[in-house]
Amino acid sequence: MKQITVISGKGGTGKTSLTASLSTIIQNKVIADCDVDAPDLHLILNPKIKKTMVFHGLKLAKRDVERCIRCMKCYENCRFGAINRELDIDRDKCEGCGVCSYVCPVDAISMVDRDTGFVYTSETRFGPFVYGILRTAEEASGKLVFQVRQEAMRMAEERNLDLILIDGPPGIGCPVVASLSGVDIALIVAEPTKSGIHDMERVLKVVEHFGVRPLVCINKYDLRIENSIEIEEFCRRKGIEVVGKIPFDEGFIGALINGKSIVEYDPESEASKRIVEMWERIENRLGE
Amino acid sequence: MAVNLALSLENVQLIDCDVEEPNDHIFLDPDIERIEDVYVECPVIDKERCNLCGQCASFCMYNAIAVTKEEVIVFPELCHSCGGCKLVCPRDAITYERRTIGRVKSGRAKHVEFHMGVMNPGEIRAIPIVKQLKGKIDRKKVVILDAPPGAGCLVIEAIEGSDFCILVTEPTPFGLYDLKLAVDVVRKLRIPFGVVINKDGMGDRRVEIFCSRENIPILMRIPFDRKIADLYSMGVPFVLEMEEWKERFRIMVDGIEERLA
Repeated sequence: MKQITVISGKGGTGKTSLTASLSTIIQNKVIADCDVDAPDLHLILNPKIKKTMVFHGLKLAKRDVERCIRCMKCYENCRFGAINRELDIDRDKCEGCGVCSYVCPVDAISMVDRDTGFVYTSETRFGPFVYGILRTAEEASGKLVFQVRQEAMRMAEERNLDLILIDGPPGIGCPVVASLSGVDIALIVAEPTKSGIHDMERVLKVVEHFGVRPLVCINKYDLRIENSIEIEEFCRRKGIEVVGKIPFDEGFIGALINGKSIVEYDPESEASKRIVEMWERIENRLGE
Repeated sequence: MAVNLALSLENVQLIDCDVEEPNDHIFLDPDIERIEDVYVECPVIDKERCNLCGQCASFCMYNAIAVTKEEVIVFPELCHSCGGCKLVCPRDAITYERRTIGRVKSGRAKHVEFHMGVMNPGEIRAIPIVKQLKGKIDRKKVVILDAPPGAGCLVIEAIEGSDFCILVTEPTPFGLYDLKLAVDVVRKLRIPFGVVINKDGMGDRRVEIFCSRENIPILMRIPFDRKIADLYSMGVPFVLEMEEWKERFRIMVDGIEERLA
Protein backbone atom coordinates (compact mmCIF):
# COMPACT_ATOMS: atom_id res chain seq x y z
CA MET A 1 0.00 0.00 0.00
CA LYS A 2 1.24 3.50 -0.88
CA GLN A 3 0.58 6.74 0.95
CA ILE A 4 0.80 10.35 -0.26
CA THR A 5 0.49 13.37 2.00
CA VAL A 6 -0.32 16.80 0.56
CA ILE A 7 1.17 19.62 2.67
CA SER A 8 2.02 23.27 2.27
CA GLY A 9 3.51 24.75 5.42
CA LYS A 10 1.05 27.65 5.37
CA GLY A 11 -2.71 27.51 4.87
CA GLY A 12 -4.32 29.16 1.87
CA THR A 13 -2.06 27.77 -0.85
CA GLY A 14 -4.84 25.68 -2.38
CA LYS A 15 -3.74 22.43 -0.79
CA THR A 16 -7.23 21.19 -0.01
CA SER A 17 -8.61 22.24 -3.42
CA LEU A 18 -5.83 20.23 -5.06
CA THR A 19 -6.42 17.25 -2.79
CA ALA A 20 -10.10 17.35 -3.77
CA SER A 21 -9.09 17.32 -7.44
CA LEU A 22 -6.73 14.40 -6.89
CA SER A 23 -9.58 12.62 -5.11
CA THR A 24 -11.63 13.04 -8.29
CA ILE A 25 -8.92 11.63 -10.54
CA ILE A 26 -7.40 8.78 -8.55
CA GLN A 27 -9.10 5.39 -8.52
CA ASN A 28 -8.97 2.72 -5.82
CA LYS A 29 -7.92 4.80 -2.87
CA VAL A 30 -8.94 5.88 0.59
CA ILE A 31 -8.99 9.62 1.25
CA ALA A 32 -7.95 10.91 4.69
CA ASP A 33 -8.18 14.47 6.00
CA CYS A 34 -5.49 14.89 8.65
CA ASP A 35 -5.94 18.64 9.10
CA VAL A 36 -7.83 17.82 12.28
CA ASP A 37 -7.57 21.37 13.67
CA ALA A 38 -9.61 22.79 10.79
CA PRO A 39 -10.69 20.04 8.39
CA ASP A 40 -12.13 21.46 5.17
CA LEU A 41 -12.05 18.60 2.66
CA HIS A 42 -15.43 17.27 3.79
CA LEU A 43 -17.00 20.51 2.54
CA ILE A 44 -16.24 19.34 -1.00
CA LEU A 45 -16.54 15.59 -0.55
CA ASN A 46 -19.94 15.79 1.15
CA PRO A 47 -19.48 12.53 3.06
CA LYS A 48 -22.18 10.18 4.26
CA ILE A 49 -20.96 9.22 7.69
CA LYS A 50 -21.00 5.49 8.38
CA LYS A 51 -19.23 5.37 11.73
CA THR A 52 -18.30 7.93 14.39
CA MET A 53 -15.64 7.19 16.97
CA VAL A 54 -14.99 9.39 19.99
CA PHE A 55 -11.33 10.18 20.35
CA HIS A 56 -9.78 10.48 23.79
CA GLY A 57 -6.50 12.31 23.56
CA LEU A 58 -4.67 13.30 26.68
CA LYS A 59 -6.16 12.68 30.09
CA LEU A 60 -7.46 15.47 32.30
CA ALA A 61 -6.78 15.88 36.02
CA LYS A 62 -9.86 15.96 38.22
CA ARG A 63 -9.75 16.89 41.91
CA ASP A 64 -12.06 15.38 44.49
CA VAL A 65 -12.84 18.36 46.74
CA GLU A 66 -14.02 16.15 49.61
CA ARG A 67 -10.77 14.24 49.84
CA CYS A 68 -8.41 17.12 49.17
CA ILE A 69 -6.47 18.40 52.22
CA ARG A 70 -5.11 21.43 50.34
CA CYS A 71 -1.48 20.46 50.88
CA MET A 72 -0.61 22.32 47.64
CA LYS A 73 1.67 19.55 46.37
CA CYS A 74 -0.22 19.36 43.06
CA TYR A 75 0.09 23.13 42.61
CA GLU A 76 3.82 23.02 43.35
CA ASN A 77 4.57 20.14 40.98
CA CYS A 78 2.49 21.11 37.95
CA ARG A 79 4.87 22.33 35.26
CA PHE A 80 2.10 23.61 33.01
CA GLY A 81 0.59 26.20 35.32
CA ALA A 82 -2.67 24.29 35.06
CA ILE A 83 -3.44 24.39 38.79
CA ASN A 84 -3.87 27.74 40.52
CA ARG A 85 -3.56 28.60 44.21
CA GLU A 86 -7.25 27.87 44.74
CA LEU A 87 -6.47 24.44 43.27
CA ASP A 88 -8.77 24.88 40.30
CA ILE A 89 -7.65 22.86 37.30
CA ASP A 90 -7.52 24.69 33.97
CA ARG A 91 -8.76 22.32 31.27
CA ASP A 92 -6.98 24.24 28.52
CA LYS A 93 -3.61 24.14 30.26
CA CYS A 94 -3.65 20.60 31.68
CA GLU A 95 -1.52 18.35 29.47
CA GLY A 96 -2.62 15.19 31.27
CA CYS A 97 0.82 14.16 32.52
CA GLY A 98 -0.46 12.66 35.77
CA VAL A 99 2.15 14.27 38.05
CA CYS A 100 -0.48 15.94 40.29
CA SER A 101 -2.26 12.64 40.75
CA TYR A 102 1.04 10.93 41.59
CA VAL A 103 2.16 13.46 44.21
CA CYS A 104 -1.23 13.75 45.91
CA PRO A 105 -0.87 12.11 49.35
CA VAL A 106 -4.60 11.45 49.79
CA ASP A 107 -5.44 10.20 46.31
CA ALA A 108 -7.73 13.12 45.62
CA ILE A 109 -6.78 13.60 41.98
CA SER A 110 -7.75 11.16 39.28
CA MET A 111 -6.90 11.27 35.60
CA VAL A 112 -10.05 11.07 33.53
CA ASP A 113 -10.72 10.70 29.81
CA ARG A 114 -11.50 13.84 27.91
CA ASP A 115 -13.48 13.87 24.70
CA THR A 116 -10.86 15.44 22.51
CA GLY A 117 -12.38 14.87 19.12
CA PHE A 118 -13.99 12.51 16.67
CA VAL A 119 -12.95 10.20 13.88
CA TYR A 120 -15.49 9.74 11.09
CA THR A 121 -15.56 6.94 8.57
CA SER A 122 -17.63 7.82 5.53
CA GLU A 123 -18.54 7.18 1.92
CA THR A 124 -18.24 9.82 -0.78
CA ARG A 125 -18.72 9.98 -4.54
CA PHE A 126 -14.94 9.55 -4.80
CA GLY A 127 -14.72 6.56 -2.49
CA PRO A 128 -14.15 5.95 1.20
CA PHE A 129 -13.11 8.95 3.27
CA VAL A 130 -11.82 9.14 6.85
CA TYR A 131 -11.52 12.42 8.70
CA GLY A 132 -10.94 13.65 12.20
CA ILE A 133 -12.16 16.74 13.98
CA LEU A 134 -10.40 17.99 17.06
CA ARG A 135 -12.69 19.83 19.44
CA THR A 136 -11.70 23.48 19.54
CA ALA A 137 -9.05 24.40 22.10
CA GLU A 138 -7.92 20.80 22.50
CA GLU A 139 -4.48 19.26 22.31
CA ALA A 140 -3.13 15.94 21.01
CA SER A 141 -3.82 16.61 17.36
CA GLY A 142 -0.87 14.36 16.47
CA LYS A 143 -2.51 11.42 18.20
CA LEU A 144 -5.78 12.09 16.43
CA VAL A 145 -3.94 12.17 13.10
CA PHE A 146 -2.53 8.72 13.87
CA GLN A 147 -6.01 7.46 14.63
CA VAL A 148 -7.35 8.83 11.33
CA ARG A 149 -4.49 7.22 9.43
CA GLN A 150 -4.95 3.89 11.17
CA GLU A 151 -8.62 3.86 10.31
CA ALA A 152 -7.79 4.76 6.70
CA MET A 153 -5.31 1.88 6.52
CA ARG A 154 -7.83 -0.51 7.98
CA MET A 155 -10.37 0.51 5.31
CA ALA A 156 -7.80 0.21 2.54
CA GLU A 157 -6.92 -3.31 3.62
CA GLU A 158 -10.51 -4.33 4.06
CA ARG A 159 -11.42 -3.22 0.53
CA ASN A 160 -8.19 -4.11 -1.09
CA LEU A 161 -7.36 -0.53 -2.11
CA ASP A 162 -3.72 0.28 -2.72
CA LEU A 163 -3.41 4.00 -2.03
CA ILE A 164 -4.12 6.45 0.77
CA LEU A 165 -4.36 10.12 -0.19
CA ILE A 166 -3.82 12.34 2.86
CA ASP A 167 -4.68 16.03 3.14
CA GLY A 168 -2.15 17.29 5.67
CA PRO A 169 -2.36 20.14 8.18
CA PRO A 170 -0.53 23.49 7.98
CA GLY A 171 2.63 24.22 9.94
CA ILE A 172 5.58 21.96 10.69
CA GLY A 173 4.63 20.74 14.18
CA CYS A 174 3.03 17.78 15.86
CA PRO A 175 0.13 16.99 13.47
CA VAL A 176 2.34 17.55 10.40
CA VAL A 177 4.93 15.10 11.66
CA ALA A 178 2.15 12.61 12.40
CA SER A 179 0.79 13.07 8.86
CA LEU A 180 4.20 12.51 7.27
CA SER A 181 5.71 9.64 9.19
CA GLY A 182 6.03 6.53 7.07
CA VAL A 183 4.41 7.90 3.89
CA ASP A 184 5.92 7.34 0.44
CA ILE A 185 5.56 10.80 -1.01
CA ALA A 186 5.00 14.29 0.37
CA LEU A 187 3.43 16.55 -2.25
CA ILE A 188 4.37 20.08 -1.21
CA VAL A 189 2.02 22.74 -2.57
CA ALA A 190 3.94 25.99 -2.89
CA GLU A 191 2.73 29.45 -3.81
CA PRO A 192 4.99 31.75 -5.84
CA THR A 193 5.13 34.48 -3.21
CA LYS A 194 8.12 35.56 -1.12
CA SER A 195 6.52 34.11 1.99
CA GLY A 196 5.39 30.99 0.13
CA ILE A 197 8.97 30.21 -0.86
CA HIS A 198 10.05 30.56 2.75
CA ASP A 199 7.20 28.29 3.93
CA MET A 200 8.11 25.64 1.35
CA GLU A 201 11.76 25.62 2.42
CA ARG A 202 10.79 25.13 6.07
CA VAL A 203 8.30 22.35 5.49
CA LEU A 204 10.80 20.68 3.18
CA LYS A 205 13.27 20.47 6.07
CA VAL A 206 10.69 18.51 8.04
CA VAL A 207 9.94 16.22 5.09
CA GLU A 208 13.64 15.48 4.70
CA HIS A 209 14.12 15.08 8.46
CA PHE A 210 11.65 12.20 8.36
CA GLY A 211 13.10 10.65 5.22
CA VAL A 212 10.04 11.14 3.00
CA ARG A 213 10.43 11.76 -0.73
CA PRO A 214 9.29 15.31 -1.59
CA LEU A 215 7.61 16.39 -4.83
CA VAL A 216 6.65 20.02 -5.41
CA CYS A 217 3.56 21.51 -7.03
CA ILE A 218 3.58 25.25 -7.73
CA ASN A 219 0.02 26.46 -7.42
CA LYS A 220 -1.08 29.75 -9.05
CA TYR A 221 2.33 29.66 -10.78
CA ASP A 222 1.44 32.54 -13.09
CA LEU A 223 0.71 34.83 -10.14
CA ARG A 224 4.36 35.88 -10.23
CA ILE A 225 6.48 34.05 -12.77
CA GLU A 226 9.86 35.19 -11.40
CA ASN A 227 8.99 33.67 -8.02
CA SER A 228 7.92 30.44 -9.73
CA ILE A 229 11.28 30.35 -11.51
CA GLU A 230 12.98 30.88 -8.16
CA ILE A 231 11.09 27.86 -6.76
CA GLU A 232 12.04 25.76 -9.78
CA GLU A 233 15.69 26.73 -9.48
CA PHE A 234 15.67 25.99 -5.78
CA CYS A 235 14.16 22.56 -6.48
CA ARG A 236 16.66 21.82 -9.24
CA ARG A 237 19.56 22.62 -6.90
CA LYS A 238 18.09 20.34 -4.25
CA GLY A 239 17.27 17.57 -6.73
CA ILE A 240 13.54 17.81 -6.10
CA GLU A 241 11.11 17.27 -8.93
CA VAL A 242 8.48 19.92 -9.69
CA VAL A 243 5.60 17.70 -10.78
CA GLY A 244 3.00 20.36 -11.42
CA LYS A 245 2.58 24.01 -12.33
CA ILE A 246 -1.07 24.91 -11.92
CA PRO A 247 -2.24 28.30 -13.22
CA PHE A 248 -4.41 30.65 -11.23
CA ASP A 249 -8.02 29.99 -12.17
CA GLU A 250 -11.17 31.62 -10.79
CA GLY A 251 -12.78 28.25 -11.43
CA PHE A 252 -11.22 27.03 -8.16
CA ILE A 253 -13.45 29.46 -6.27
CA GLY A 254 -16.52 28.64 -8.36
CA ALA A 255 -15.94 24.94 -7.77
CA LEU A 256 -15.54 25.46 -4.04
CA ILE A 257 -18.76 27.48 -3.77
CA ASN A 258 -20.56 24.68 -5.58
CA GLY A 259 -19.06 22.00 -3.37
CA LYS A 260 -17.01 20.51 -6.20
CA SER A 261 -13.40 20.00 -7.19
CA ILE A 262 -12.25 22.01 -10.20
CA VAL A 263 -11.70 18.79 -12.17
CA GLU A 264 -15.41 18.04 -11.73
CA TYR A 265 -16.61 21.61 -12.11
CA ASP A 266 -14.59 22.62 -15.15
CA PRO A 267 -12.72 19.60 -16.54
CA GLU A 268 -11.75 21.41 -19.74
CA SER A 269 -9.94 24.22 -17.92
CA GLU A 270 -6.17 24.55 -18.19
CA ALA A 271 -5.88 24.08 -14.41
CA SER A 272 -7.81 20.80 -14.52
CA LYS A 273 -5.66 19.47 -17.37
CA ARG A 274 -2.50 20.37 -15.52
CA ILE A 275 -3.72 18.58 -12.41
CA VAL A 276 -4.46 15.42 -14.42
CA GLU A 277 -0.95 15.57 -15.92
CA MET A 278 0.54 16.13 -12.49
CA TRP A 279 -1.13 13.01 -11.19
CA GLU A 280 0.33 10.96 -14.05
CA ARG A 281 3.80 12.09 -13.00
CA ILE A 282 3.16 11.33 -9.34
CA GLU A 283 1.81 7.91 -10.24
CA ASN A 284 5.04 7.13 -12.10
CA ARG A 285 7.09 8.16 -9.07
CA LEU A 286 4.95 5.97 -6.82
CA GLY A 287 5.74 2.98 -9.00
CA GLU A 288 9.49 3.46 -8.63
CA MET B 1 -2.93 41.82 7.93
CA ALA B 2 -0.86 41.89 11.15
CA VAL B 3 2.09 43.58 9.45
CA ASN B 4 -0.05 46.16 7.65
CA LEU B 5 -1.85 46.93 10.88
CA ALA B 6 1.42 47.39 12.78
CA LEU B 7 2.81 49.70 10.10
CA SER B 8 -0.32 51.85 10.30
CA LEU B 9 -0.12 52.47 14.06
CA GLU B 10 2.20 54.38 16.40
CA ASN B 11 3.82 53.07 19.59
CA VAL B 12 3.33 49.51 18.48
CA GLN B 13 4.74 46.03 19.05
CA LEU B 14 4.33 43.20 16.55
CA ILE B 15 4.86 39.65 17.82
CA ASP B 16 4.77 36.81 15.29
CA CYS B 17 3.44 33.80 17.22
CA ASP B 18 3.17 31.55 14.17
CA VAL B 19 6.43 29.92 15.21
CA GLU B 20 6.06 26.93 12.88
CA GLU B 21 5.86 29.09 9.76
CA PRO B 22 6.67 32.70 10.67
CA ASN B 23 6.23 35.16 7.80
CA ASP B 24 5.98 38.67 9.24
CA HIS B 25 9.74 39.24 8.95
CA ILE B 26 9.60 38.65 5.19
CA PHE B 27 7.27 41.64 4.82
CA LEU B 28 8.90 43.80 7.49
CA ASP B 29 12.58 43.10 6.84
CA PRO B 30 13.52 43.99 10.42
CA ASP B 31 16.97 44.59 11.88
CA ILE B 32 17.34 41.72 14.34
CA GLU B 33 19.20 42.96 17.39
CA ARG B 34 18.87 40.07 19.78
CA ILE B 35 18.47 36.28 19.53
CA GLU B 36 17.60 34.06 22.48
CA ASP B 37 17.42 30.29 22.53
CA VAL B 38 14.27 28.61 23.81
CA TYR B 39 15.02 25.70 26.10
CA VAL B 40 12.95 22.87 27.43
CA GLU B 41 13.99 20.31 30.00
CA CYS B 42 14.46 16.75 28.96
CA PRO B 43 15.37 13.65 31.01
CA VAL B 44 18.87 12.16 31.03
CA ILE B 45 19.32 8.67 32.46
CA ASP B 46 22.26 7.82 34.70
CA LYS B 47 23.16 4.34 33.43
CA GLU B 48 25.09 3.48 36.59
CA ARG B 49 22.08 4.00 38.80
CA CYS B 50 19.31 2.79 36.47
CA ASN B 51 18.14 -0.79 36.99
CA LEU B 52 15.81 -0.80 33.97
CA CYS B 53 12.71 -1.14 36.17
CA GLY B 54 10.64 0.67 33.54
CA GLN B 55 8.60 2.84 35.89
CA CYS B 56 9.57 6.03 34.05
CA ALA B 57 8.38 4.62 30.72
CA SER B 58 5.09 3.38 32.12
CA PHE B 59 4.43 6.72 33.83
CA CYS B 60 5.17 8.82 30.75
CA MET B 61 1.90 9.76 29.04
CA TYR B 62 3.66 10.89 25.91
CA ASN B 63 5.60 7.71 25.06
CA ALA B 64 8.79 9.71 25.27
CA ILE B 65 10.67 6.94 27.13
CA ALA B 66 11.10 3.31 26.14
CA VAL B 67 12.90 0.71 28.26
CA THR B 68 14.46 -2.32 26.62
CA LYS B 69 16.37 -5.19 28.23
CA GLU B 70 19.62 -3.28 27.81
CA GLU B 71 18.83 0.39 27.99
CA VAL B 72 16.46 3.31 28.42
CA ILE B 73 15.76 5.27 25.24
CA VAL B 74 14.51 8.86 25.45
CA PHE B 75 12.71 10.49 22.51
CA PRO B 76 13.35 14.15 23.32
CA GLU B 77 10.87 15.60 20.79
CA LEU B 78 7.97 13.76 22.45
CA CYS B 79 8.83 14.93 25.98
CA HIS B 80 6.50 17.54 27.54
CA SER B 81 8.94 18.26 30.41
CA CYS B 82 6.32 17.33 33.03
CA GLY B 83 8.90 16.02 35.51
CA GLY B 84 7.01 12.78 36.13
CA CYS B 85 9.77 10.32 35.22
CA LYS B 86 12.15 11.90 37.70
CA LEU B 87 9.50 11.77 40.43
CA VAL B 88 8.71 8.08 39.95
CA CYS B 89 12.28 6.83 39.53
CA PRO B 90 13.07 4.68 42.61
CA ARG B 91 16.84 4.89 42.01
CA ASP B 92 17.12 8.64 41.56
CA ALA B 93 18.69 7.95 38.17
CA ILE B 94 17.04 10.77 36.24
CA THR B 95 18.20 14.35 35.92
CA TYR B 96 17.10 17.01 33.51
CA GLU B 97 19.12 18.70 30.85
CA ARG B 98 18.29 21.79 28.83
CA ARG B 99 17.62 21.30 25.15
CA THR B 100 17.08 23.98 22.48
CA ILE B 101 13.86 23.72 20.47
CA GLY B 102 13.88 27.10 18.78
CA ARG B 103 14.69 30.77 19.06
CA VAL B 104 13.14 34.11 19.81
CA LYS B 105 14.42 36.95 17.64
CA SER B 106 13.87 40.58 18.53
CA GLY B 107 14.50 43.77 16.64
CA ARG B 108 12.98 46.73 14.94
CA ALA B 109 11.58 47.68 11.56
CA LYS B 110 10.89 51.36 11.03
CA HIS B 111 8.95 52.40 14.16
CA VAL B 112 7.70 48.87 14.90
CA GLU B 113 9.19 46.87 17.77
CA PHE B 114 9.29 43.32 16.45
CA HIS B 115 9.60 39.86 18.00
CA MET B 116 9.30 36.48 16.34
CA GLY B 117 9.63 32.86 17.39
CA VAL B 118 11.14 30.17 15.19
CA MET B 119 10.71 26.49 15.94
CA ASN B 120 13.49 24.18 14.78
CA PRO B 121 12.29 21.82 12.02
CA GLY B 122 11.87 18.32 13.44
CA GLU B 123 10.49 19.60 16.74
CA ILE B 124 6.81 19.15 17.43
CA ARG B 125 6.04 21.25 20.52
CA ALA B 126 5.73 24.94 19.81
CA ILE B 127 4.01 26.00 23.03
CA PRO B 128 7.18 26.83 25.03
CA ILE B 129 8.32 29.16 22.22
CA VAL B 130 5.02 31.04 22.22
CA LYS B 131 5.20 31.31 26.02
CA GLN B 132 8.65 32.85 25.86
CA LEU B 133 7.55 35.21 23.07
CA LYS B 134 4.66 36.46 25.14
CA GLY B 135 7.12 37.43 27.83
CA LYS B 136 8.10 40.25 25.44
CA ILE B 137 4.70 41.92 25.68
CA ASP B 138 4.97 45.57 26.64
CA ARG B 139 1.57 46.70 27.92
CA LYS B 140 2.50 50.35 27.40
CA LYS B 141 2.29 49.77 23.67
CA VAL B 142 -0.35 48.57 21.27
CA VAL B 143 0.56 44.88 21.04
CA ILE B 144 -0.33 42.95 17.89
CA LEU B 145 0.06 39.18 18.15
CA ASP B 146 0.02 37.33 14.82
CA ALA B 147 -1.50 33.98 15.84
CA PRO B 148 -0.87 30.55 14.29
CA PRO B 149 -3.60 28.91 12.16
CA GLY B 150 -6.17 26.46 13.46
CA ALA B 151 -8.21 26.27 16.63
CA GLY B 152 -6.08 24.09 18.86
CA CYS B 153 -3.88 24.47 21.91
CA LEU B 154 -1.28 26.65 20.21
CA VAL B 155 -3.89 29.20 19.20
CA ILE B 156 -5.15 29.33 22.79
CA GLU B 157 -1.63 29.87 24.06
CA ALA B 158 -1.17 32.76 21.63
CA ILE B 159 -4.45 34.61 22.12
CA GLU B 160 -5.05 34.07 25.82
CA GLY B 161 -4.92 37.38 27.68
CA SER B 162 -5.68 39.46 24.60
CA ASP B 163 -8.16 42.33 24.93
CA PHE B 164 -9.55 41.76 21.46
CA CYS B 165 -9.25 39.26 18.62
CA ILE B 166 -9.39 40.15 14.94
CA LEU B 167 -10.51 37.07 13.00
CA VAL B 168 -9.35 37.24 9.39
CA THR B 169 -11.34 35.18 6.93
CA GLU B 170 -12.07 34.74 3.24
CA PRO B 171 -15.56 34.76 1.70
CA THR B 172 -15.54 31.08 0.70
CA PRO B 173 -16.99 27.89 2.23
CA PHE B 174 -13.51 27.03 3.60
CA GLY B 175 -13.20 30.51 5.07
CA LEU B 176 -16.61 30.28 6.67
CA TYR B 177 -16.02 26.85 8.18
CA ASP B 178 -12.67 27.87 9.67
CA LEU B 179 -14.15 31.16 10.88
CA LYS B 180 -16.82 29.26 12.81
CA LEU B 181 -14.09 27.25 14.56
CA ALA B 182 -12.23 30.45 15.44
CA VAL B 183 -15.42 32.06 16.76
CA ASP B 184 -15.96 29.01 18.93
CA VAL B 185 -12.47 29.42 20.43
CA VAL B 186 -12.68 33.15 21.19
CA ARG B 187 -16.14 32.73 22.68
CA LYS B 188 -14.82 29.95 24.92
CA LEU B 189 -12.08 32.28 26.13
CA ARG B 190 -14.55 35.19 26.41
CA ILE B 191 -12.42 37.50 24.30
CA PRO B 192 -14.31 40.23 22.42
CA PHE B 193 -13.81 39.91 18.67
CA GLY B 194 -14.66 41.09 15.20
CA VAL B 195 -14.10 39.89 11.65
CA VAL B 196 -12.02 41.18 8.76
CA ILE B 197 -13.01 39.83 5.36
CA ASN B 198 -9.93 39.42 3.20
CA LYS B 199 -10.23 39.03 -0.59
CA ASP B 200 -13.70 40.53 -0.33
CA GLY B 201 -15.69 39.96 -3.50
CA MET B 202 -13.86 36.76 -4.40
CA GLY B 203 -16.45 34.23 -3.32
CA ASP B 204 -19.97 34.23 -1.95
CA ARG B 205 -21.93 36.03 0.80
CA ARG B 206 -22.16 33.23 3.33
CA VAL B 207 -19.56 34.75 5.66
CA GLU B 208 -21.52 38.01 5.80
CA ILE B 209 -24.79 36.23 6.40
CA PHE B 210 -23.21 34.23 9.21
CA CYS B 211 -21.76 37.40 10.82
CA SER B 212 -25.02 39.29 10.69
CA ARG B 213 -26.98 36.34 12.08
CA GLU B 214 -24.48 35.92 14.91
CA ASN B 215 -24.24 39.65 15.51
CA ILE B 216 -20.51 39.70 14.82
CA PRO B 217 -19.13 43.06 13.69
CA ILE B 218 -17.33 43.18 10.34
CA LEU B 219 -14.42 45.51 11.08
CA MET B 220 -12.98 45.83 7.61
CA ARG B 221 -13.07 44.45 4.09
CA ILE B 222 -9.90 44.10 2.07
CA PRO B 223 -10.86 43.70 -1.59
CA PHE B 224 -9.85 40.86 -3.89
CA ASP B 225 -7.47 43.11 -5.78
CA ARG B 226 -4.70 42.39 -8.24
CA LYS B 227 -2.45 45.14 -6.88
CA ILE B 228 -2.70 43.87 -3.29
CA ALA B 229 -2.03 40.31 -4.47
CA ASP B 230 1.00 41.48 -6.47
CA LEU B 231 2.47 43.36 -3.51
CA TYR B 232 1.84 40.33 -1.30
CA SER B 233 3.66 38.05 -3.73
CA MET B 234 6.67 40.39 -3.69
CA GLY B 235 6.68 40.50 0.10
CA VAL B 236 5.67 44.16 0.26
CA PRO B 237 3.10 45.28 2.88
CA PHE B 238 0.39 46.97 0.82
CA VAL B 239 0.00 49.98 3.16
CA LEU B 240 3.47 51.13 2.04
CA GLU B 241 2.27 51.50 -1.56
CA MET B 242 -1.37 52.31 -0.85
CA GLU B 243 -1.06 54.92 1.90
CA GLU B 244 -4.82 55.51 2.19
CA TRP B 245 -5.12 52.11 3.87
CA LYS B 246 -3.12 53.28 6.89
CA GLU B 247 -5.94 55.64 7.80
CA ARG B 248 -8.48 52.81 7.37
CA PHE B 249 -6.51 50.59 9.73
CA ARG B 250 -6.34 53.42 12.27
CA ILE B 251 -10.09 53.98 12.03
CA MET B 252 -10.61 50.26 12.58
CA VAL B 253 -8.47 50.32 15.72
CA ASP B 254 -10.29 53.41 17.01
CA GLY B 255 -13.53 51.51 16.53
CA ILE B 256 -12.17 48.55 18.49
CA GLU B 257 -11.07 50.84 21.32
CA GLU B 258 -14.54 52.36 21.45
CA ARG B 259 -16.05 48.89 21.71
CA LEU B 260 -13.76 48.01 24.58
CA ALA B 261 -14.29 51.28 26.47
